[in-house]
Amino acid sequence: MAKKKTQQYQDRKYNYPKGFTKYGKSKTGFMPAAQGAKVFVTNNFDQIKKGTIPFDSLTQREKRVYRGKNNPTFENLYRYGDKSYYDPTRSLRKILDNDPNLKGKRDLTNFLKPEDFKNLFDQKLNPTKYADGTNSTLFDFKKGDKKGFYRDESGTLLDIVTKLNKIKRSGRNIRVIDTKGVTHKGVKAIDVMRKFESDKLMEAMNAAKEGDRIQLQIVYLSTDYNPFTNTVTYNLNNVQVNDLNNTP
Amino acid sequence: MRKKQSTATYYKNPALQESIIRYYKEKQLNFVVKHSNYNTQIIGTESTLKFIQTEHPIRVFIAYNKIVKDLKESPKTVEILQGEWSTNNFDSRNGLKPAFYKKILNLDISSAYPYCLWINKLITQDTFNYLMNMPKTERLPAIGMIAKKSVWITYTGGKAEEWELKEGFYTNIFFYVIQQITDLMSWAAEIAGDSFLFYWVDGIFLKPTISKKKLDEITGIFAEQGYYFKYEKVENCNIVRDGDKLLINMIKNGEEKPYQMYDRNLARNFTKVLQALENA
Repeated sequence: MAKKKTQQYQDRKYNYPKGFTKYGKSKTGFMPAAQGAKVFVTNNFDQIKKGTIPFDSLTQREKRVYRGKNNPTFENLYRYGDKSYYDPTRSLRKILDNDPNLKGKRDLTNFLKPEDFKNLFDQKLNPTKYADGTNSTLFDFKKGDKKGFYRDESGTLLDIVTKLNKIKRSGRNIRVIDTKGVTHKGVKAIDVMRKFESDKLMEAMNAAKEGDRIQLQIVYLSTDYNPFTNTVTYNLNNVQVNDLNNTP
Repeated sequence: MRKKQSTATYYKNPALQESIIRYYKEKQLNFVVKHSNYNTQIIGTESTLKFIQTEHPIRVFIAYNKIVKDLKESPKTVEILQGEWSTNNFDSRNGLKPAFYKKILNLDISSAYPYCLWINKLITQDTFNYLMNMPKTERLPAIGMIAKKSVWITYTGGKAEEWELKEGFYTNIFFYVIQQITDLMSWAAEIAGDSFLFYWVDGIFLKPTISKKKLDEITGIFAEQGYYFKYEKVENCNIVRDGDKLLINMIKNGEEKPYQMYDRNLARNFTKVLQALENA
């Protein structure tokens, strides 16, 4: 019996766009498929999105490029210099797309001053940029429901008290400097941290109505690990409390 | 009868100027220091010391006087004097990337300022012809004198007591001319789109890949507005970015020409984003 032949995947042939030059010479022949698919999808992105160019008519490679470009993480991921920045509010994309000169732009290196870009991202768009499972708690639940914590994209539970208990079990020492400047150690330190968080949460819950979503983030900006004494220190005097429902 | 003062003229020498002022101050004399773009004068009770940067021939002053005479008679002068005009005469493409271009295209408006004055009926044909018969190096200061500005510092008993900024009556006319040319350049930049690199005063720099159609449209507008233009040979154009500063070096007509400008788009973009965020 003849062996069934698997269908060979075929790329489209891409001509170089008019005026495309490299090293001062006009390009002849066809573009490499990987480059061609990117150029094709980039140039026809809006038509594919609208359906003027049917998604099914794309080659597998083009579909893959399109999916990448069309996903929210990609759309809201910006570059400045050699670093990437993510805009969780997704508002910058809408603002930039309203300006024909800035539509679709993701590399903002030559569009904003370094200090303005930093200000924009750290203050306006992503004030929680530095928050992660090791230095923050994020409560996320509806008032009236059981108190819940948020898990980030990697699945890490953003609950610092649970994290501290784990850290303690792993053999590290815990130090917490409270709002009066008093240093607490061990189990007492974790209790102080829990009390601090529950006070902040109580304030947010009192301000909310029944059924309102509470997204309260507490970021411990001053965290430190001393490898010589194997001690982790959290300072409750340098804390950023964000009501994410009201963050732009 | 007022005693006639003696005047001595020297080439600009900041160190000498400073030492004379210091000497007058120590001697507690009464004198006036006048600073302008073209010269610095130390006017004492006995004599005036004049430090000039460039010595202009008499025809530069004749041309300036002819322009002023025409401005006094032009029906458009009053209206222009009352307006507000921008003096920003450069801009670059939003998001201009640092790059090196072996060749770029430069379109220069020929004698932009005299033509602008003439097209807008601010000077007569006779004055225009007079200006056009002058070399470029003399034509520019003659027109620039419309915007003359000087600071007068009065010293009494060796102490600076008051200062005054004196501006030429027709300064706003000069600003109007600047804006007219800048508007034309930004119009051309808009047409050029992605092929636009930057413009500087009366010259626009474009990528050599610009389509013929766009180029025809730009030159068509220049001609329609009554301006003559010329293509300049520009090679080895190197664009470097330092924060919001653009440093551009090129060989224009065989001569090295450096340009340094602020990228005004950066502040504009930031303001736009902030406003949109506030309105959201």
